[in-house]
Amino acid sequence: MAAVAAGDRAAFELVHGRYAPPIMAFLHHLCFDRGLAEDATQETFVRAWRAASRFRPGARLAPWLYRIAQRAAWTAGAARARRGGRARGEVALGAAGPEAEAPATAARAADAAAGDHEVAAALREALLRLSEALRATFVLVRMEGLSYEDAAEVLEIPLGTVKSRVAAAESHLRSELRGFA
Amino acid sequence: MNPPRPPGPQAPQSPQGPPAPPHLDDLIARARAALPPPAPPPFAQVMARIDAEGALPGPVRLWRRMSEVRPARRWAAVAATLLAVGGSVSLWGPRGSPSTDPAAPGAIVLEIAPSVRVLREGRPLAPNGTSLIATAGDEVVADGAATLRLGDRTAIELEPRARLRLGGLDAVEMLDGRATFYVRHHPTRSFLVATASVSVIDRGTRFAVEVSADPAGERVLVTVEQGRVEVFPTEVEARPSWELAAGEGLAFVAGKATGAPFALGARPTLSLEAEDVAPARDRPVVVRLVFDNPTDGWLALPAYDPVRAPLHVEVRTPDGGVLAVRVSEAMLVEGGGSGRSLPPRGRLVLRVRFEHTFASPGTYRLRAIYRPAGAVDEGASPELVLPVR
Repeated sequence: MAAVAAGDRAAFELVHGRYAPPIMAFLHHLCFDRGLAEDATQETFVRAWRAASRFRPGARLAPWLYRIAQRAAWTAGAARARRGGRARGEVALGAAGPEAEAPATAARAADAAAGDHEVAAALREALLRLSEALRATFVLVRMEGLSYEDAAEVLEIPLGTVKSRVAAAESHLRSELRGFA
Repeated sequence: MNPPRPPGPQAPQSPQGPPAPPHLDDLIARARAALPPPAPPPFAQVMARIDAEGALPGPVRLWRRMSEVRPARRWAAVAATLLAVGGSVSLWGPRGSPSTDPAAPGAIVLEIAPSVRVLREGRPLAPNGTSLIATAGDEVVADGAATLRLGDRTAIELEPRARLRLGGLDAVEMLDGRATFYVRHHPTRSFLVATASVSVIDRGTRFAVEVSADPAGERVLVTVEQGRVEVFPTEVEARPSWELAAGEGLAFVAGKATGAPFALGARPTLSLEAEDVAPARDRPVVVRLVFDNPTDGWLALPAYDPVRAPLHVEVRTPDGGVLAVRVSEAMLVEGGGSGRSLPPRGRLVLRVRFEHTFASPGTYRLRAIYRPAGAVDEGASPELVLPVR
């Protein structure tokens, strides 16, 4: 990041190439809204570029970027909520929007032969029904593969809170998705 | 630089964490296969936005833009722009081209003391006597207490180990430690001090900014001795701001104010304790200076304002003499480090070693004397009676 702080675009492109896909996946799994996730991903890297000089040597880049991403997501969601708009049919972060407004999945879940698309839709709806805090923690740990310790660093919460949130989210999701054996 | 683990439920989990129920992992894998996350915006798109906004690494871009705004509208413009950038304020502009010409665009004329180093991309710049031509982005490091003159209207008193980055003649970014700013009033120009989480705009005044690392996030203490400043956090969505008047201070942790502005007249209580109730005269004597904050606000610690308000220990010797021993960093056995403030109801203990003060046997009487920043009167600890063998 020292090179990035000095304005080295090639170095920043390497950072982007390596981290933009998982950051985009994280943000998309927070809101299941492509437009909002793209905006927040772009905002994440713009903020990272601006703040590169404040990146502490020896610190780990991934948690730092995920932390910026989480704040960018919150800002993007809040800005959209202020505008009161869902300009491209998007879902405001932390709220169930059009993409989450399908009927409850229990009936469909009973169908053992449900396709993967139905699984994806059910998981998305179940995630969107979680509180923002539970969802962010679950997505980081269980879907993006961060360790509990890294998730604690990203969310700036104690390790024990990460574990309890993941456990609570799992319990909720197991209940919501019990029909998909 | 540690990359994240590969995404997906197959990624290894923390050894401390139990695996998710298998069926949940399976469902996540099926969902990912059916609806993979969309691709991120391409790098060129990110850079296009950065170029369009002039968002270069490091804080003066905004300030330079603001300098072109009519003064009457500047404050509103600053606030509006800060809101518009949505949380991550970057006031820092492009690094200027290396130059030795004081008339060159972006040149910053510095007068520096020998204990100050100016670094450009990590390499020290050689001063011409006591002056130096710097540019935005150069970093200033104080190896000892020193005064830095920035242009013709700003003087900055740097405490040992203070670090800042230049943003131009009207802006600096405090990186670490404590500095006191003396800014002469100008009808159309104001001075900006930014940290990673807090920004301070002066209106022709004398104020101090102290930055230190804290496990809870960057800690910033702003104190005003003369005039007024406006202070606002840079990372909070709803950006409250405070106007601090002379004799007021405000502390932040991770960009959040720890309470309301407090009066600088409030001060920690100081007491002295001897580690050995009857020390020997031929050995160093260690005394504990204990600062207690009895208030619900943060307090600046006078011990770290060595230039104008030294902390010293008044020692009455057995023969009736009086010594004033200034407490220097070198005497601190424990509790040293520049830039400290005391949290509400908090306590700081400094262990101070005296090598030669107690060279004769007899009874000594000690008082610690201090003067908090902004206060005109002195404070003193209760007397400690120390019999030396």
